[in-house]
Amino acid sequence: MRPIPSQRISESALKVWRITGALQSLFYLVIPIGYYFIHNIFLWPASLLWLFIAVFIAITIVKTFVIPLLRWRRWRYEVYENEVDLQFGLIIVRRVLIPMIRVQHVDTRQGPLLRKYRLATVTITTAATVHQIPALSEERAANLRDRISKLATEAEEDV
Amino acid sequence: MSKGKRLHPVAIFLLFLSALKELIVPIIAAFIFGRGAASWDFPFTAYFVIGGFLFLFLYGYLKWLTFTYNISDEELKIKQGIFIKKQRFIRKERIYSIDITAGVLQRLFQLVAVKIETAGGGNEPEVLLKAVTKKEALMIREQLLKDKVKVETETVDSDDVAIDNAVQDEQRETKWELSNKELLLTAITSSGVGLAFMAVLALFTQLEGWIPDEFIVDTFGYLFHSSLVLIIVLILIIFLVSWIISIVGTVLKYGQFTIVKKGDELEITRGILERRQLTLSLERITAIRVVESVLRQPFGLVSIYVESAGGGSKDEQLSTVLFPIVLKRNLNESLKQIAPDFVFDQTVESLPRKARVRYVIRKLVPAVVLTGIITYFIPYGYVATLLIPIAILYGNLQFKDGGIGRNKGYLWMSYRTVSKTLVVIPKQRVQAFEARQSIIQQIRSLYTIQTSILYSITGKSFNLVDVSKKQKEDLLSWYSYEETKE
Repeated sequence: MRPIPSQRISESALKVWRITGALQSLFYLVIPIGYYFIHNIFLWPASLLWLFIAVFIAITIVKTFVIPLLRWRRWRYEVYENEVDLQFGLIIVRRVLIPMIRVQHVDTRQGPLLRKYRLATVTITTAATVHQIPALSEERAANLRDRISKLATEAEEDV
Repeated sequence: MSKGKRLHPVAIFLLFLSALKELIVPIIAAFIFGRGAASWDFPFTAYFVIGGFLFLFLYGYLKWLTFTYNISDEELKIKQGIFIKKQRFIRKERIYSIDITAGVLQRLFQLVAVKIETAGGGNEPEVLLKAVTKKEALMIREQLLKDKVKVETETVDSDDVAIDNAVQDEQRETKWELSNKELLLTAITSSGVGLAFMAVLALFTQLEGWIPDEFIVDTFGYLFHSSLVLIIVLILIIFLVSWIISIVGTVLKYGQFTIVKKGDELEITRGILERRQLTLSLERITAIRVVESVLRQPFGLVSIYVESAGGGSKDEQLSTVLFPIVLKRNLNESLKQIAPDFVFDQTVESLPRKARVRYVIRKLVPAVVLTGIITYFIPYGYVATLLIPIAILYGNLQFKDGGIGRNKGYLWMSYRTVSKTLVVIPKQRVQAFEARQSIIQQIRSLYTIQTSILYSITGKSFNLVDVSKKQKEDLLSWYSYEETKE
């Protein structure tokens, strides 16, 4: 049995994911608001309005508290000399192997929210695929990027 | 050497035509909508049309005048543009494939078009030389594909319609040809029949409106007392017609199919009306697919496709046909000639037995839902319950045909969508390997594996659903480049 990768991503990722989760769940507010107007104009039952509000609150809680935590717990990565090993995914657990000799380039990315918490995402690109390790602390991301890039250039075709 | 070459002057005409083709929609629109707006006098319209044609012709001429190409030792230089001058330098080692085609127009003038593709090209071919002589085309290919430019005086018989491979090389040449018998088999078992059937059916329903009703009644009315017989006969006729169309189409497409192998290069030539030639480097092949379509499987026939980085034409879903048809038991023999790297005993380890239930359920659920809906809404809808056993059989079949195998350097997976497919991927072509498990798969501890390869300019991935934990672990360590293996 292949061991699970050892490295976790930054704990600050939780904060960022909670904020984005909360913002995303605002979108679902459209349903109760929309229904509120229908309820007023066409006099549809008010009980449904309360149901929609309850559903909205439930979604918000799940998206803000439950999902980020579960996702954070699942996320593992490990960079070996010859390959990168990733494990992630909430409902579908994914395990990805990317050999160093296939890596074309590595970069770090940072949106405004990530920058606020001094985090960055490492993106690994092969000829056919793109992989991300989200929300690492800035210096760790930079180190990882440089390390993968160095290993990728050193890796040789041994087949 | 320093001066660039122009295309054959016929290119002016071809450029003019393609410019016209692009404008055809606005022109038609102008005719339809412009009519009512203003009553133009006849001469004015005529001048307008003639002026437009002259303008387009001038455009074609200028385009031809400004387009030059030049092959030096390291690169292909293209200069083009009427107002904005564009220069493009393509290094020889970046060139993936050179496709020589002769469309109907080109053939009228005994010319060919040369398409040169490089990595990262986008949808448009990198360079399209619209009209050059056959001799020139062969020379271009020779110069671009050889690292050291050999100045050779070639003998090209230009009278034959086919693009002759008169360029003899010192390297060993192997040839694979599709015999007439095989061509016929390919055509008869072509799955294009379904597509043609739809087209003919659509046409037929259109036609019905044109034929007067009395005619139909008169001719058929007394022949068939029951309308059901009429319908069945009609469908049979439509089926036959579409079958013939599909046969003719396939014969035209794959007629005179030949592969010539010179060293590492494969030259695939095919087509009767339109000759297409594709040059493919063996090193660029990222995977081969052995496809057994439903119509071909009973006869033990398979077709082989290659996935390659770059090249390939759109109508083949960016994969190139290597062998349109070959007997499954002769497959290794043919491969040995053309792509010897892919020859080996492809024993397939089947999926774990507990996966069967999931394969069947996946087909059963939509079938049951569909049956329910049909039974509820349509009279005699309960006939649809026939779907359920079909779904069960289909799921079982998909399970049975799923499997994986590997040796040191290769991985192969077999699966069925409709056709049964076996894909063979060299390990060094796999860009990334993924094993995943959904919550439902967790119950039976099954996994889905996914291999991604480079294909054309982007990636493509092959999935195999529901492999066992052991198979997954086995493949992870097979793919791992760390020393942990064994």
